[in-house]
Amino acid sequence: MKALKLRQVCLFFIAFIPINKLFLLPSLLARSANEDMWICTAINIIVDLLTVSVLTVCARKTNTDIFTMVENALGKVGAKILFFVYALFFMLKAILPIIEEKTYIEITLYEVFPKHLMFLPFFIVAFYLCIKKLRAVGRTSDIVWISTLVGLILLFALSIANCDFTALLPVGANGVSNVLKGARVGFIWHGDAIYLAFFLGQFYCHKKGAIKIFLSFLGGAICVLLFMVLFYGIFRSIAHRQIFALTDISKYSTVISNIARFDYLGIIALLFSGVFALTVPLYFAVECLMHIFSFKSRVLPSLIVNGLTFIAVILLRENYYGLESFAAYIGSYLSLFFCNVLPLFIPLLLRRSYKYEYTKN
Amino acid sequence: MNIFKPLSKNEKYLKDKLSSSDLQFSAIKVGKYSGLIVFVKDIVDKTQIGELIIKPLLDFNGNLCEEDLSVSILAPEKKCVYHLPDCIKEVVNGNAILIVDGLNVAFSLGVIKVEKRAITEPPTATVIKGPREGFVESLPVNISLMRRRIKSPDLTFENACVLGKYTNTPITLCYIKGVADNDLVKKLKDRLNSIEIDGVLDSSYIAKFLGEHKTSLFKQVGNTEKPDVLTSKIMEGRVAIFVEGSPIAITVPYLLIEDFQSPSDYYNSPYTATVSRLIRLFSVILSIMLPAFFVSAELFHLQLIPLSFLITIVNSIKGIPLSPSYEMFFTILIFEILNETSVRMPKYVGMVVSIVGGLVLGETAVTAGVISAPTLMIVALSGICLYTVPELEKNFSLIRLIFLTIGGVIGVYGLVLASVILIVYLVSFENYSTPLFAPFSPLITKDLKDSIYRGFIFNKNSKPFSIRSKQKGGLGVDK
Amino acid sequence: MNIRKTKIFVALFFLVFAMFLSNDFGLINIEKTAIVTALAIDKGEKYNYKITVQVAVPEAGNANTENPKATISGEGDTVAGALKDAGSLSGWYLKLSFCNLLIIGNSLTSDSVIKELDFFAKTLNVQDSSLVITTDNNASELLEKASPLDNISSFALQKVLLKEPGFDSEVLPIDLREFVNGIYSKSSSAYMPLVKMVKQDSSSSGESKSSGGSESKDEKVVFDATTTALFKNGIMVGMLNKEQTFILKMLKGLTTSTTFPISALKDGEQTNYLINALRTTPKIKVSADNFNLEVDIFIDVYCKVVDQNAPWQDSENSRNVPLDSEVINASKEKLEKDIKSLIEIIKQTDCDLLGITDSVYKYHYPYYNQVKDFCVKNFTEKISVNVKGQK
Repeated sequence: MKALKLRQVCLFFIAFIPINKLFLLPSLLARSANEDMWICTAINIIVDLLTVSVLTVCARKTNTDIFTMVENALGKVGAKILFFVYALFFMLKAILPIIEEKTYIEITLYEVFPKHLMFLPFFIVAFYLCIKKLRAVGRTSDIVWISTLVGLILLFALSIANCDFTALLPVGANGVSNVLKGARVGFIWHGDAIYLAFFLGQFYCHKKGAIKIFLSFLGGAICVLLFMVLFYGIFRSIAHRQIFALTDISKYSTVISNIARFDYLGIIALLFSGVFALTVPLYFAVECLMHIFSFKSRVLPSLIVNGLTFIAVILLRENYYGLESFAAYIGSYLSLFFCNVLPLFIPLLLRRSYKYEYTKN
Repeated sequence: MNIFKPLSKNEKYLKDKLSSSDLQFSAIKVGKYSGLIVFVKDIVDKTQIGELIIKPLLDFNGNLCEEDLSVSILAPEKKCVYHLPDCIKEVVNGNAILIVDGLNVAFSLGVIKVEKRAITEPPTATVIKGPREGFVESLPVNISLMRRRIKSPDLTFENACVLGKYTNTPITLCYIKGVADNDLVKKLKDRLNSIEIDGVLDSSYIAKFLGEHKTSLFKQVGNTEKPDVLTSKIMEGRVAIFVEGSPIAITVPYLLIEDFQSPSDYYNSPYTATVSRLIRLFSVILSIMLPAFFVSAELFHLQLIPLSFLITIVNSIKGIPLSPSYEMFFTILIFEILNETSVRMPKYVGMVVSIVGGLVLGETAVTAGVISAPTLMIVALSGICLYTVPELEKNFSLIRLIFLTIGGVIGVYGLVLASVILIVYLVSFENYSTPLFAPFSPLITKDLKDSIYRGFIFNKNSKPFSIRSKQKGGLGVDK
Repeated sequence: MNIRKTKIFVALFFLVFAMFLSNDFGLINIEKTAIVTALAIDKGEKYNYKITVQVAVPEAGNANTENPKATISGEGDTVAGALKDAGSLSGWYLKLSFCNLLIIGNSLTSDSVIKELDFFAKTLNVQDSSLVITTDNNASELLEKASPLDNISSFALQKVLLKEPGFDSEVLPIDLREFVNGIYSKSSSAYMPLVKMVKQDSSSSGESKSSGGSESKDEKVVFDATTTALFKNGIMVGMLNKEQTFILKMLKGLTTSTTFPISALKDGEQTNYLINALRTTPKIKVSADNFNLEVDIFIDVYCKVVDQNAPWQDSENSRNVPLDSEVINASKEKLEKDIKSLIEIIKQTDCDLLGITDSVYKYHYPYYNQVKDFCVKNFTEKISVNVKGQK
């Protein structure tokens, strides 16, 4: 029996894709591309969808997991090197959103709190989540998608009335270079298609299932696109100054000003989903370490991954802008390579893996 | 040790082993032979002993053998016993033992007559509409209640084992053959047989042994005191366990959503049932989150509170000597003390509890400025909300305290993290290969018809997939 | 292993519980928190800025007690410095997240007000959904007056500045986000209500002109927010009177069921009417033809007569009687006249209230760079008002 169901893979993408892109990314894109920021997001989404389509075809054709496939194709040593690099990459991919969300929570929800202690509980929870098996990840997405959708629908419903959609005009006035610069900046926040590679062989996928996965990914991505459109439509010329857009887009509704800030319910629902979304790359880093070092239990690799990430967050928290610059340049290229380019070689790995299995048998 | 042929030897052995003053050793005549009847005076029907055993045997003129004697004894329940220790067991179980001189077989006669409680509505599961019968402490009565409801030859009662070194409590499994999973039945029997315990006084004693996660805070087996509820559960594929001396039957496997359902949901309209279930779910979430959220908002996130309410709160807490965390904890503690007292207090002084709890601790404490009115209101609301799901009240009360502690230390984000841990714990929790959080996680859409909302009975055309029962029919009409 | 896990869990719980009971994280005690409801900024005497904050002061006991207000002032070379001074002088921790009103004193409007407002727009402590207003005098004076509408003057002012479109008022409120957005937009133009304290005789009740009243010991004053101050590049460049404010509000589509007075000749007699514009559909279309800009302003108004100072005829008492042509013409004339005077002010002050620059940027981008510097001053307007309705 496989660890995951097709439905859980689809809900995974709906639940976790939108979250990390709602904090800092909108203002960064607005800084680069102004009213064309939605085009930057669309470019990132199209690149991800390309990778997803390739991976869904692979999912239909194989029942072998990615680790076995790579080992068959590249040998044990080659596989270990590759997954070690991926483990490091996943930890790097996790750091920026964690610091982002940490800063967001500190600024918007708290005024006075010992900041060093604040995010230690998150890492305790991340450790707990990382020691669970893949089946728990699938079952969690059965629940979390509800909170993501509720949060997004609430925020969208409250903000749509204040959005001036004509603010997105004229299309393309900022120039192709600015749009591409924005898209480049966005790659480190996107690149969620890689997780599908790690789900290969863990669920049964039929032809219609591949379409369902694609559509789920597209659904999550459309939520992000809609958020970007609403964000720019509400803030327009001051969009680049709104460093944490999530709390701000829904508060101009007349309902809010009359009753109370119940849009915080939507924000808390998204923070709930956000805990899982932040932990996903750490989880896969643990998976990689498990296969490299053949640990018997997940406790030690979880401790290593979360401990190292916690130390990195503490060291880098004062140097956020340096980290942001790194992410916008080197980080983005790394993300594009590891999340979108390398997975395109999986069909080749599949062929080599089949050959290996054939000669072995 | 086999039964001796000389009666005197048997008598001596039995008198050595059974020295209690409530035991009766009666010498009788079995035709031309001597006999001995041994029984516990206060738990047998002496009239039956006289009419059905002693009287017919006086005129016995058959051969001294098992078959002839068996025919002469008119008691409907009788069985042969070949060993003296078994005779002792039968006597202490309430049966009468007949030993005849010259025969190395004893007869165990079912003449037990114990005073039983009348069948009444269980206090923990009252309904406005629907059956009001409840199980009692007597196992045969409970079995009869089930037999009355399920008149099918597939309804199986299986004596799984006898547990308790001193109590020797019989444990009986009840399931419908062809519906319940055979592997589950086998697993349960093995687990029951592996239990070593001094005594079993209630089904909850063995419930702890039946769970696969020994130290978990959450229930791992279901329970019910109502035959109609148990009937529906075993029709879905569950296995029930009856314990002699306990009115509560245990059911396995258990889903968390079961405790959010009430028998009255099935006797009322599905619309009202759905609304009731949603209210229960909302009440539970409110009871756990509200005190913690309030404390964390007061301490860390004033901006979450609407301005007019904030001014009211600040008005109320001005002059209160305790900090918000202490105040909430203290008020919850008082509420729990009152709760505990109300259960144990004799009913004649129940009025004192109401007056002390309501007027003195409530109103006077607020007027004196010891606690604030919003805190008191929140604790009261939280406490009442817990009782919408009485089965899980104790569990959620503890969880409420944990959330309050975390909320008071870390704030709203702490509550989010605690919710994450709780959800992940629940979704990965399994017993007997059945996930606790089914049908929500894993999402089983066909079972959602009877989960947080109640579909129409004619649409319920499949057994729950969460329970993995063998048969796939349903309550609805098969098309 | 389970026992070990249980021990770890129990130890963790008691540790967290001890932290819970210690309750000491440098938290600000709620009782020492000053809930700021409004903020006024003026030019300082010793320093650049003087900030006056109005604080809602809670009282112990009955939660229904009306809370007295308190104002605290502080000075500093920057806005944040002045706030810090105010907090340190009072000993309270100023909680700005409930501040819903920012008042700019007239001493600051001759220079760019963005220098002051940018702090509030950028900080996350103050909501940028706060209303912004200016005044013809010192901003702090507005906060120091008690009001019969509400004990706390900032609440009274907020009642005057209601944003709901269904409310019949001649005030054009704006929040901080919209104001800053306007200044940073292509047109660099924005507006905000200018609140005046008008002396009123104690004997006259008068029609309420979207105002709240206040009493001082010697005189009664009324808050009048029907004037709108215009800002270009953050500097105040002009004002709109009540009629111009009203028509601008109508052109922005912010009026529903709002009333305006007209005077028309009926049966040879001058009759005054109060017309209720039940539904208003404004449209502003900017067309660019060879760098010549034409602005088409079209309003479709469906009206009803609320009152007239002449007796109602029997025929007028039944439902669905169409409006008299005199009333329609008079309404049309009035609205056209108001629109023309608004356009005049726009051209004079170069304050793009109709979003012409933004429209050119969005819909006529090829022309934008050539016309952006003069598109507000040099455009031809075409006004078309369509009035219909019933009595």
